[in-house]
Amino acid sequence: MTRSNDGAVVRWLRSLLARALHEEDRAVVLADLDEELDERRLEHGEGAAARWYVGQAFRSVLPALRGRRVWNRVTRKTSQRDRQTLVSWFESALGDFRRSTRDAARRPLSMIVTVVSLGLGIGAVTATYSIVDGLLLSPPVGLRAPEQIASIYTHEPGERRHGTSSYLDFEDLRRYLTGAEELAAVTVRSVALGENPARPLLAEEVSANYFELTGIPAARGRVFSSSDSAPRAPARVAVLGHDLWRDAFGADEGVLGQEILLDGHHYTVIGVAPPSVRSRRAPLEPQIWVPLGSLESPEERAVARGRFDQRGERAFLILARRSEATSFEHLRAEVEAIGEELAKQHAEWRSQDGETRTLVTVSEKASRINPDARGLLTAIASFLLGATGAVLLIACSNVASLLLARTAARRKELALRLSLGASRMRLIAMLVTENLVPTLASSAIGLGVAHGVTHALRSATLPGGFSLPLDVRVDTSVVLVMLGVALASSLAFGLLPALAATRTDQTSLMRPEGAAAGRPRLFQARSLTVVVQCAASLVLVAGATLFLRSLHNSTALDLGFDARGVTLATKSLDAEGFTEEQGLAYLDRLEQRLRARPDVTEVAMSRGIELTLLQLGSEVEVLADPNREAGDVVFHNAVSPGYLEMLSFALQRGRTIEKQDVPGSPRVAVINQAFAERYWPGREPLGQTFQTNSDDVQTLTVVGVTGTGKYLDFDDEPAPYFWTALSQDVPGQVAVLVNGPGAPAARMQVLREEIRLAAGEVQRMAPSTFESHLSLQFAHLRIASTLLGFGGAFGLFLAAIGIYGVVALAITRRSKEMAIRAALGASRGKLFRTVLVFGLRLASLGLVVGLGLAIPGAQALRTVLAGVSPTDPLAFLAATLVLLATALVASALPARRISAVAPMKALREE
Amino acid sequence: MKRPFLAEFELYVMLAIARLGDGAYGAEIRREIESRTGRSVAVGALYTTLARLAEKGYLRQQVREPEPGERGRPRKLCTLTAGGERALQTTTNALRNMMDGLEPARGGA
Repeated sequence: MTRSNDGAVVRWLRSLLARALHEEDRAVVLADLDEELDERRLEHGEGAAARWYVGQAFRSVLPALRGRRVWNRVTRKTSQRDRQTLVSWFESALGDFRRSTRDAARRPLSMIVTVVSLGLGIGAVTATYSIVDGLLLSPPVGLRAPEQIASIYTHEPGERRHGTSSYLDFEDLRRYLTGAEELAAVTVRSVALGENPARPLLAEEVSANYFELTGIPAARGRVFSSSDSAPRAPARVAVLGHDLWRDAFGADEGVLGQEILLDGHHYTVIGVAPPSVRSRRAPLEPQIWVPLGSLESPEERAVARGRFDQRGERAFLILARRSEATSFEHLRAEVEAIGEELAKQHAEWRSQDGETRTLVTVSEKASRINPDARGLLTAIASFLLGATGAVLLIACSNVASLLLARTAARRKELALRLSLGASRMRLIAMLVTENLVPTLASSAIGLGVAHGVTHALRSATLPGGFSLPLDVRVDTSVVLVMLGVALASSLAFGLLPALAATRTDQTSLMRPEGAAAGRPRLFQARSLTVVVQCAASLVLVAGATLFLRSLHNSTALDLGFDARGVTLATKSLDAEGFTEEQGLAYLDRLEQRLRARPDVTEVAMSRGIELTLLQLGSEVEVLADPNREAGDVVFHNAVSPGYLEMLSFALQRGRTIEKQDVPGSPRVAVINQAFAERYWPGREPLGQTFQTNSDDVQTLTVVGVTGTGKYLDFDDEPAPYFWTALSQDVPGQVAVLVNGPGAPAARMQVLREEIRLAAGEVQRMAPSTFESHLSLQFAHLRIASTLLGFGGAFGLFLAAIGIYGVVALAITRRSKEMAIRAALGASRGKLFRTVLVFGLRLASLGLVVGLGLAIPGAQALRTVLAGVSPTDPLAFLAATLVLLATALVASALPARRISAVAPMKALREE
Repeated sequence: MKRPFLAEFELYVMLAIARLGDGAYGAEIRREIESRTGRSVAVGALYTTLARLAEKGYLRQQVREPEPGERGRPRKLCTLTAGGERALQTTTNALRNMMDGLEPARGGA
């Protein structure tokens, strides 16, 4: 519709309007304007009419674009109403999905960073959750009416509140406790399955009514019945754990009735337990169940002191099922009363200073994990969950800021879509769908990470070949939680930018970037994510530093001995059927053979080994005063000549155990300083004698004194300890230790070759290094500091990306301001500093928030950290510096760019 | 069910159509509003509003092409629907109710 008498401007504006208008309106609107134009031309003249037209045209363009949307809706409604909305939704979602994958392929780096960081975050949270779920949350499998079950503990004065009980006390409870239908005793020990090589297992030794009491059924065959426990002569029958049945027997149905070797004894398999039955010593999962006392032959039981007939030997956890008529409170009161009665009758129940043992009753629910350990475990678990949650938060906030940046960059595209008739819902759906692709990829990574971590935990092997049957797995509930976490983060971090980006109307979105009204909101959201990232990574880095310091302190502890290079293995003398003389002769020959090997310069034997899992029966009562009826419990070890020298126990006076200390010669002991101070304060300990009640009452003469070290645990208080001569105190099983030049592997091979196992013999400890046993004691610190260290480094990396991104964005936004300032004479250095300060300000804000969270949070770790205060200034200072340095680098990189920008170029771009 | 209330400019447009009677077209409506309110109306905005009101079902639009030989332009003739009448009623009633009692003081303004 060109009109010859119109000027060029009017013609151009008409064609612009024509393009903006929807075809439904185009002809009438243009006709309307032309009609008025003609009238005005006649009335006011050409110039005024043209001016009027220009004003009308400019004011009509944007409403015309809006009108397009209205018409699009109207026409779609009328012409496409019959089209199925579900199908169209699906098609558009498919389109978004395809576009999203295409998009990812086009910008791989930022996509990979996003997906991997989110995946690691999800994986970390999922793995931690599965551990917490396995340890603390999930209810036990197979228990019948668990609310009727209670655990009964013995509280020994001066010890932790929920201790185990003696077998005699168990029998008394069974006799007198009327409120309980059933009482069972349980203990956990390791046994060896098969021979050459034997497989160490975690076994639960249970009284025959254990399964009846708990209600745990057999998945195959049967569980124990009362006939399996003839008093003191229990049957050698075994119930296999489900995992063991699957792993060691290939889930063979024919395993029932089969004979297996346990610790060298023949057992008959009578049943298989259902999967995931938790030990009463949770979180471990028993691999096999045997009747209580069946692992020792009657003769052995007569020799094995105490376990069943001494009230001092407390090895059992007692379970009670109350009768329906009895309330829990009533049961508790009755148990307490029996405890008071026992304390009156038995000397073992009373300590020297008049305090007595008490019996403590705890519901099944509260005793799944020993109540004394529960607080610590909960603290560690919540700290880990918090730390991994922080990693996820960092990952999510990074994803969000990437998405914010992306949607900000796509404002024009979104505006166009809006003006072309896309509804806001449709755009939001599009943005969220696009976000779903990276989330799905991240979930897959997360699931893989979680599975890997839990698998590694389950298959972790301790030195000596023990496996750690932790009940930790990625099960359905864990996967559901993981998917929930992933979807929630995807929704939250896809929806928010989508809402923000589509909220502003499309006309403002069409304007140039810098003038857009939505800018400050997006920009602030990005700054906020950076603050959150800095805070979270500070928490992680500070936590990691605390654990590292604690680990360092522990390994730097003065143990009182030096185990470098020492390699060891065990040998059972009992399994060979040796008498004491034969055993000693055997050890003599073994020592000769070992010394003949070129790799070996030192050889020693001992009953147990300090600070390892091999502290077998080394607890005796010391009667320094023969008139006293009961003495103190003191740990001791029986060692061969050379043992104290090999481990460099610092001898202060006298001599060590020597070759002259043989059977028949006077019995000797080397004591530590704490022993001397306890029994002979201010007196000469050498030549003093004391008695022990180990097998029979023996008198020992002190021949040497060493310094006081650590013997049972790293956080031992200084305690009395002593060594006797192995040849005067021959144990049924010995540890064989060698040392020499060269790598420990060679010495392990020597031990493997020289220690020949008898038929059916079980090696408690396969050849390994002493240090690996020691490191086991630090395992929790090492694991925690490694995890947190990784988390902290990862968080720092993500925070650095975040800071870089936000500073770079700010520079783009403020390039005009910078250019003007540069043009007005601001030096490059000043501009550089301005930008740097901006980045550091964000980081400092995060720092303050992070410190505010980390310092009180670290209090929860007080019990876990060795020798480090939870508010250790060094740890927090280090974390602060690391974070500030990261922020400095992350803002300096883009800042360099700004100060190098040419002022005219920046101004022209705007 | 959409709110039957009208926005300010929508109300002007509907009132103008009501005043002009059936068969009002764009240019007429625009002039009516401009002369009565004294504010200048952008043609594009008017037609967008007409389209939106039509979408809401408040008015019907009908395109009338010029008769052959007749010198003239295509026009969109607007007619209020029953729904449109109701919406107009609701909005003006609300307006009246809000202004009730203010007339002595502000009515003239």
